[in-house]
Amino acid sequence: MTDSTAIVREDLVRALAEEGDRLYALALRVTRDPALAADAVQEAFVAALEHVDEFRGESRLGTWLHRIVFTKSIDMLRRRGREASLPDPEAEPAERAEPAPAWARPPDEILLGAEARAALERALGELPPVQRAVFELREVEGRPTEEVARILEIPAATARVYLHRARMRLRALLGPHFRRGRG
Amino acid sequence: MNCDDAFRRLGEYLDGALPGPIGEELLVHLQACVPCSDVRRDLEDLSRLSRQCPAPPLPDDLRRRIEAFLKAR
Repeated sequence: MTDSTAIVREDLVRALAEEGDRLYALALRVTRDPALAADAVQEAFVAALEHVDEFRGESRLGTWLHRIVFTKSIDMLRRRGREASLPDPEAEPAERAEPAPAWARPPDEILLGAEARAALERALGELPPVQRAVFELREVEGRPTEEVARILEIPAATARVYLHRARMRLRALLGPHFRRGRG
Repeated sequence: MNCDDAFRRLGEYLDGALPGPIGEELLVHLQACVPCSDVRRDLEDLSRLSRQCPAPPLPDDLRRRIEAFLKAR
């Protein structure tokens, strides 16, 4: 083992400790299957070690690993024959605000926390994988849109379009749950 | 600014990415328009709910397996 290889291994071990939960969260959000998510994360670290020469330090190691995990997660879905195509953001018309009436009160005031989370999880399952990834990285983890775009290798403007679509679709999907008590 | 413009700009507004003058225009619209104001409130609630929904952590056995792989070869 060369010194540089040993350093890379140490960096990856550190990244696993620091980013492992978030990497798994991304894989799980995209695949919605714990077994596929586990495979995606494991394959990502194998690929990272094999292709470490492609990591040029232009982004953080964690960002690069997230990118590989996302790619592996999409690969897993494709292998299982599940929908995994990346939609063209220009191909579908933007949703309008009008079809979804306003929620009566904040969702976590209407449903108990666990119920509200379960409803959100179900609704997330209705989104395309790439929108789930954007939503996880931006909305749940709070990463800057520019970093989300780097991870997914899409323009920042496209990441914003995906996020907007995801938010509006979730708002519409969650409406039946969270309009209880109106009036 | 009309409702369609406001709707398109809401995401940028929530992300803090809306430049000053346009952001001010949006705020004026939101103060006067109940439907658009409702959308903003719902999206803010959605954001808050989302932050309460972290995924489960990386399973310990998987973490150990990957760590062993990284240290072994």
